[in-house]
Amino acid sequence: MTRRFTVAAGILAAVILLAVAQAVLEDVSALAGWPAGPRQLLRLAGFFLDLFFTIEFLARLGLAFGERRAGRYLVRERGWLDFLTGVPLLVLVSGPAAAGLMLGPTLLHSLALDTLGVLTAVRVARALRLLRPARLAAGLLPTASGMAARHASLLALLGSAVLALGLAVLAVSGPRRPGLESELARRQDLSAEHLRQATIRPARSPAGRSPTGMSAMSAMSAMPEAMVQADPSLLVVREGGATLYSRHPDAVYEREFAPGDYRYVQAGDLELFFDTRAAARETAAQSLLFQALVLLLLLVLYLLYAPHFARTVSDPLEVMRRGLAEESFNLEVRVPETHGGEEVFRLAREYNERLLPLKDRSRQGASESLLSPQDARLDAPGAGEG
Amino acid sequence: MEPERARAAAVAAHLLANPVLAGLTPLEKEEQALLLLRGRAAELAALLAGPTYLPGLPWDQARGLVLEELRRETDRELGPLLEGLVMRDGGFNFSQALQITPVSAERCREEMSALLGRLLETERTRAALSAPLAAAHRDLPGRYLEQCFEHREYVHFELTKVERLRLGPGESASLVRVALLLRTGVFLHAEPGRAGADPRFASEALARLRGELKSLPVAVLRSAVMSHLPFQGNPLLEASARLTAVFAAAARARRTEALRGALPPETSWWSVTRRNAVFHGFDGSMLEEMRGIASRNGW
Repeated sequence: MTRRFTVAAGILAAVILLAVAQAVLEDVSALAGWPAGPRQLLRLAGFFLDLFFTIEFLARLGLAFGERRAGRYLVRERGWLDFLTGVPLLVLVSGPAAAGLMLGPTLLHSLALDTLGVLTAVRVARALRLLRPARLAAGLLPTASGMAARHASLLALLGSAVLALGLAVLAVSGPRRPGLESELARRQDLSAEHLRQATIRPARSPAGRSPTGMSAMSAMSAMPEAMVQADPSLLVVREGGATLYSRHPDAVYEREFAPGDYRYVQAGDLELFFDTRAAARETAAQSLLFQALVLLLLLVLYLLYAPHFARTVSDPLEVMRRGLAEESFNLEVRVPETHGGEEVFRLAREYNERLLPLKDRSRQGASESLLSPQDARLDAPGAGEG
Repeated sequence: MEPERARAAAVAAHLLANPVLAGLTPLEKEEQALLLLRGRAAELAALLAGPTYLPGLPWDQARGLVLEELRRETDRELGPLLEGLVMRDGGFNFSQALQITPVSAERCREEMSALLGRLLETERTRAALSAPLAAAHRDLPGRYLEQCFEHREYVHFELTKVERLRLGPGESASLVRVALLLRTGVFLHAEPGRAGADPRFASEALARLRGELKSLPVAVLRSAVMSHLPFQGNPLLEASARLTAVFAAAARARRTEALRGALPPETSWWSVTRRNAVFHGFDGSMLEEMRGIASRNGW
């Protein structure tokens, strides 16, 4: 491994760790109800991280194309994983969010990025973030230690993929299955319908007045306080550009609400804005749980499974390989009592009890120097040492 | 010739100072350098013919110069080492348990030093001294016998009940260390190829050594000489002689760094050698006990 490659791999590992931290913080910020400013900064950071991964993927793909091994990169070298953890997130999640932050939320609406299909894709794409730690494990952790690392990374990837799929299913089914999100949406739709009914009734009057003689404004002002209290997610009611009701002063909206924190519903002539942060908190809690599960899975795989695999498979094999390859190597394989009956250790017993004694007998009197001719060079490393 | 000699000395010193030889005795280092000079002669000849080494000098002469300098450098380091080893056990405090006649420790030390000096004179005896010297230097007897006495198993029984040595672990270790240093003495008068594997040769060698090392306890000389005999076919071989033989061989255990999935070097060596005990002529039970000690201690 060249130094340049090591540095690049180190930088990539650091960026992946940053991305993991960013994803966790983004969910924590939603869960803890952080003000809009820090949450927007986190989203912006997410955008730049996704941009980095997209550029990195395109660069790798370009290099692979140049070397005529794009197929190999995409399939065998897990280019597909590089793609999934970069491009969809940039295009569907952080890119539009960043554009919304910089150019205003109306842009999303004008680009039809808030349609149901796109929103579903966004929810699925967010789940792909769970694959990033597996990428760290697969590509950057100890590739040199061979089989144990490869098996652990494969399990990490499969486990992360299953968890990502689970999160995606949860996210996509959120509005449809029983739960906070669907219940909030149902209540908000009900509130919108009630308000619409309250304002239609006066309009049906031939004189443009309600039977009691109230306009929409006065109907609104006469809306029972209980109705507002019944749906605490109702933030603003507007009609024709005029605000009929607002739960908070404008300063609160500026400070606490970021794009995506509210739901816009049109009910007749009324425009309604509902607070969606409660549903977002539930989604964030789920996402956080899954991220924690992925990290736990990686910890278990790399701290428990990989060392166990190394102890019981790859290390004994490496000892036997050296015993076969090196003339003077005579170390026995450590055979644990608990696994002594397994294939690898049965083989190791044969190596210990037959091959090494045979080598010892055949090498009787023969010896090879620990030194090489290069060691006689006075300009060789180690001159004057010892 | 002086500039060439200086360059040969530099090459020799450089080889001996190589970090891969760290921890070896000077004789072992010299042995490694000699193996290199013999095994990779063609490559070394090409290197030494280079302008900054010994240009224009035929390979035989170049090799001879390097060998001389290797030996000179080795001897320079060996002197203090041998003196220290002789002094360590030079009190011969085990001799009282071996014979009634008191020994003159100073005289014994002089005789031992003289013998070791003579052993260093020829390449053959230098090579033969390398392993026993390393065993004494690394104090294999001290490390293992202390635990043998603690556990009181086969070795302890053989030493105290069969050989009837009334010695503690420290004195027993001292006895074996001295036997290790004297062990190569049998080669002083032996024809090349005769390694002392038969009792008749051993008896002759013992008689000659007794003639040269008059002050040393006979039991020590006997352990040193008889350590060349195989255990198989000689069931009455003294335990101290058998121990001397296995420790001299154990010094050849490759000193490597710990490797994941492998047993430690000494444990591995005892284990492999135990399986070849008959082939090597060692006492298998002794090797098994040593393997257990090494395994328990992670050696």
